[in-house]
Amino acid sequence: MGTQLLRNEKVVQEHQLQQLVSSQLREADQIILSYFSELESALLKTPPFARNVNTSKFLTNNADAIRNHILKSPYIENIFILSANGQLLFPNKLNASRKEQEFITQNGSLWSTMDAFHPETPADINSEKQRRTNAEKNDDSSFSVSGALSKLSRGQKSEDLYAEQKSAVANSASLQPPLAEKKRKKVNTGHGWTVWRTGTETHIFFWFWDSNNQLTGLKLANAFWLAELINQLPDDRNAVDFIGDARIQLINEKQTVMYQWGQFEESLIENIQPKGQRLLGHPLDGWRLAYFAPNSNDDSPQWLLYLMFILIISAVLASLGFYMFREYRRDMRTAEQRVTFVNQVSHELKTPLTNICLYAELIEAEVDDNDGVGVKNHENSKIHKYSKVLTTESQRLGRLINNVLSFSQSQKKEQRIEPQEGSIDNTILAAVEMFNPAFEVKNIQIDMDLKASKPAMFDHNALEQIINNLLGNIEKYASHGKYARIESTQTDNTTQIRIQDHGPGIDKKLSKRLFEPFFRGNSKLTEGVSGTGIGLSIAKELCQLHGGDLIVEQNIKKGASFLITINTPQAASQATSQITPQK
Amino acid sequence: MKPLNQKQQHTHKLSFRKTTLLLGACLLASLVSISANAKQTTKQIRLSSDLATPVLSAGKSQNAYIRVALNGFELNNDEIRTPLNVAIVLDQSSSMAGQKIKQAKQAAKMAVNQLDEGDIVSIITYDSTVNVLVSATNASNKNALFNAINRIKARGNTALFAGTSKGGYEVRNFLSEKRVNRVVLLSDGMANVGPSSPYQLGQLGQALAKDGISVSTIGLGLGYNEDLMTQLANYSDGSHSFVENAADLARIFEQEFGQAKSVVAQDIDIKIILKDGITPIRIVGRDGDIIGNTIVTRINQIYSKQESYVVIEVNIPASQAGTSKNIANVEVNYNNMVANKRFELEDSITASFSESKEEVKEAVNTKVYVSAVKQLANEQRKEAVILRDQGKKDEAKAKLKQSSILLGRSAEYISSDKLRQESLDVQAEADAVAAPSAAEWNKNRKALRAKSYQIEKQQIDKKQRK
Repeated sequence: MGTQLLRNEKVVQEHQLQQLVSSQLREADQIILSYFSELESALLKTPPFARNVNTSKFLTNNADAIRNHILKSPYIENIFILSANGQLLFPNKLNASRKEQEFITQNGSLWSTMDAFHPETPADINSEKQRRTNAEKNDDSSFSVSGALSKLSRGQKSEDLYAEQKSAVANSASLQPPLAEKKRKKVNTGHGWTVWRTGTETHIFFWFWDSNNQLTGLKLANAFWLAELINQLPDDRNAVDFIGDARIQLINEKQTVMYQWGQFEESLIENIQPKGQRLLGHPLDGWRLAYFAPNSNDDSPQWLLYLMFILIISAVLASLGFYMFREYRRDMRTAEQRVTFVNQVSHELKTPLTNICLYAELIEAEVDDNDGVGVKNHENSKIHKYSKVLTTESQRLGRLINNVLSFSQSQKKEQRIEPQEGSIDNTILAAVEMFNPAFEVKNIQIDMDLKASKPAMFDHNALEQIINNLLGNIEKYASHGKYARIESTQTDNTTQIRIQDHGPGIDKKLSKRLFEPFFRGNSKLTEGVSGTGIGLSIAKELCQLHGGDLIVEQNIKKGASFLITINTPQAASQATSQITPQK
Repeated sequence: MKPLNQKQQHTHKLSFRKTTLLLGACLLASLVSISANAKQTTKQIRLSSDLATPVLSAGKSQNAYIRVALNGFELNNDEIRTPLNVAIVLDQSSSMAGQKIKQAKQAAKMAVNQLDEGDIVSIITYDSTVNVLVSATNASNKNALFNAINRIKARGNTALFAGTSKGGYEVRNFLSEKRVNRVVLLSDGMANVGPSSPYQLGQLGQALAKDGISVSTIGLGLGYNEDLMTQLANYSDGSHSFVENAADLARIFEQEFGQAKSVVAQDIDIKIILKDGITPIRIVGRDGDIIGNTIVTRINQIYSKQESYVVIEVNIPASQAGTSKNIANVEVNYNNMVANKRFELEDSITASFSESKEEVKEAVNTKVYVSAVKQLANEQRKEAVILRDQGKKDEAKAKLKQSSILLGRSAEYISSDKLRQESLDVQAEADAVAAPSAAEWNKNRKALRAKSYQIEKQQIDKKQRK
């Protein structure tokens, strides 16, 4: 929701920015427009060199005055004067200086036809207006540079052929339709600008017709009006007041930056696009103003807001995570403490337990001996039954204690395996035998397919513990499946034992964490079943110590399947003698 | 926007802006000068127009060289010097960082320190944009000026055109024929914002010159465009210096301001009207125009005790031995900065014709001859630079070797030590123009362009003179 709000605000701000850009560009354009209109009125005050004098008199008297004017006016590079019938009065070919002769050669074609120095026909004026409105429109919709470029290249094509001639009229009174008639009557009026492009150079002429129907053309010194224009435009002193931290560039028709103001160093950013542009009017055809500003999502308060939003969210998330982590740690610690406690007491428990186991076995042996000595048979079977329970339960207690001790050893990195020669299948059988009573009680059918009877080197106790833990889990969690299957296979150096059940199976998501200590697949499965949560962890670790691994097999149709892989090098003595099952 | 006849306007504007105290001082000064004028004749610049060879070989059409020289009179210590109206325009682009900007600031401060209360100064800096650090103001509060200079920091690009424009604008605000109106521009790099061609900057320099503003340019280091910097200064006869080591900036600034303070004449129009079928060929090494048989040119200013001249090549038709001829009339119209008044000077040149080679040789005007040969050799120097620019290394070298030989021959002809030295210098330049590496040529080119500009303008570098 916060982002949505921000986005809306951004749209509004973007719009406001565009408005701002447009108005600032308009303001700059206004300075340029008023400069040229003032320049126009200043140029119209050019002394009346040619007025009220006839041609012959003009030649002798006025040339020096004109030359002197050129010499002293920084605005003017050259002057030409044409008589009503198109005759060049100044510079006069017969009496021209060397520079004037050059001027005639360069510009002769311009005044050979007088087209360049007339107010535009109504059609042209319309197109001019059209152009201006286009410029306005473009400005408001912030047109792309390429648009401006294509516009320009179209213009440039015509330049190559012949100089591009455009003229505009400042005197709007003479722009009315009767103008065309006036023209036909050969009465020339008004004044205007003519931009003439030859090759790489752009010449700007200001011209006016006088009452004698003579045309005076002033060729402007481009560098000077540009310098004056620059002096009217803002600089570092007032740029901030005008446009803040943005930058405006005045770009000519050749895409060269002629002047710029504002702090924003746009050249430091690659491929930066202007935020807005404005085409300039006559006589700066093809020129434009381009507005550059830093990107709003880089540097504006709304960006800060966004950042703060993100910061708050991440702070909340972080504290939540920390809380959960602490809870988790606390659970871990509790479990660890439990194991530590059991670890401490288990050593103490082990001695009495061994005694219990021993005496339970003794009782059983005693009962067997007494079978023929007159004790009632049903009494015997009862004692048998009780002592068996006694044995099984004390064995279970023994496994539990073993697990706890192994875990504490593994925590202390003390756990080691001690390979001895033996048969893997025998170890499996021994482990299964221990579970038989418990499985019988829970009605679990056990199915075996053992093919690892060759003598090999491995740690009997470790493997037994691994199998015990897995079978223990079946007893605890998968007794409803009423089925367990053990397969063993053996190659030269490796033994694989697969232990499957038909229980509820293991959730895929949980299978990764199954082997973490104290992790108990926190689900219905473990509810109400007591456990330490270290069985699988120890089993896996023992497998790994044995140069193998313990994994949960995926894609099992029914129940769960664990695969034990251990490294079991062949025994040095190829003894085939059967090792008796361990009691 | 100012109307075209702005000079008067500015004068009015100035008097309004001035404090009453200053106005009083001005009135007093003019009263003093009026009374001084009444007592003694006004000191004038000296005009001397001569042919290098006042006696010409008879019976053949030949080209000859005219020199029109103007000598600035000496300013006495008690005389009030012409006040300055100067804009210091400093490049603060990022390439100026470090020692350069430090030295430039130091030099600018030294320059400001040379100014007196009656002077007007503005300080403009440019990088990617332009900053008018101090708009045109009386040079009385120097601490404020120093503080402003201290704030200068290097950054950004080089908006040289805009910097010069604003400098010109500040000067124009106090433009007066009674002042030395000048922009002093320092740059160490290529103009890369705004107009950047030598032609465009030359046009700006010309426009400013028409207004009576001269532009002096100082190129620092090896990164600036020497063509642009010389063109900018050219029309107003401003000085141009190549300062390779920033440590020399202070000396150059001191020299520049010292010279500006010694201006005795400004806006000098020179008109040379050739007589009797004598036709103009060219103006050697100076801008000007030729209308029929009339040559017009101008010199922006003349410094005290310094000589400025124009060399013109003309064609003189065959004349009989024993005759003499009026070659040309020379008219000079200039603004005398001490008298604050325009004066006209006139001179004429005559030549006589002889069949005796000894007589021709005997009559040679050594000083004029040396000037003419120096300017001609300078033209060849410029041509050699152009050849080298075109990659014609060998041709450029050959051109200067040839120039050296010509200088040597001329030196022997009139037995001039100056020309002998020049001949040796040009021989060294022949090696410089053939510099194998681009970096070496870049440096040599700057030195050569600066030298040819200084010869053209008779600019005196004090270090060279000593």
